[in-house]
Amino acid sequence: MAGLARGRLAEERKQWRKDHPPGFVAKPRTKADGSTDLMIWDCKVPGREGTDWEGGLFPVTIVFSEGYPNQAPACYLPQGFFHPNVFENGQICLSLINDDPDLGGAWRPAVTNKQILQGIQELLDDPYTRSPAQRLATELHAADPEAYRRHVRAMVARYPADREGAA
Amino acid sequence: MADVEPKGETLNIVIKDSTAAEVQFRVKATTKMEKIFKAYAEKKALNAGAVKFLFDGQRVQGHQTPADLGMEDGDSMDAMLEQLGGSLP
Repeated sequence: MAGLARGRLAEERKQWRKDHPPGFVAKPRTKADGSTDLMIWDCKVPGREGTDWEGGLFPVTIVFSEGYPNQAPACYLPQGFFHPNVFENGQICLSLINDDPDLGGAWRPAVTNKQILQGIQELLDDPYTRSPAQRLATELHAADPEAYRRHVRAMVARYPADREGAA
Repeated sequence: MADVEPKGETLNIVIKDSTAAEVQFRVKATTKMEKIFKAYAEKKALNAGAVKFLFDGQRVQGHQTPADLGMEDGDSMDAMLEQLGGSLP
């Protein structure tokens, strides 16, 4: 079955090179020996224009299992990322990438990496606070919008889009 | 870098801006990117210095070629307007 996951991911990569949403980055990780690891992708998701997340470019790591695409991949923002639906270890809690229907999962094998990353972009400014993954962001979102916004802007300052390419 | 030019090897490169509007270029694998940047800026009536180009999130330099960047036929690049840093109101 390993061939299925890798074949699909190679095709995902091919499509992405031809066409991807503006400002997004998604590529399989390059291993120390220079070869490509199709099972881990290093991605960048821009904050949507017109939201408090604008100006940020947020690193997202997608980890695929051999069970992909039947199993959803796990997606991570950096550890400690401020957002109601991001766990302490950075894992993103989003129905689109949850393959357990009993837990509200909406994963389908046809979901593309492009859709996952666009879903994460949307989640940034539209948190689902009824199912919180971290306390701080969830509490501030409900109780103190100004403080919440300051934390968001701090995330943008930590991961600025215009640093891109300097590396 | 080898200076043997692969005979007649060309590829199509697509440049997309933030509105996903695209311009396609047919180039040699050995063409310097600055030529493509210049042509793009002219087509879009932009100042060449006002745009930056990213391939897989990495800024593309004018002296690089599609071959240097490992580009393949049909690959797309992002054109982004240079942002000036500012402060929060």
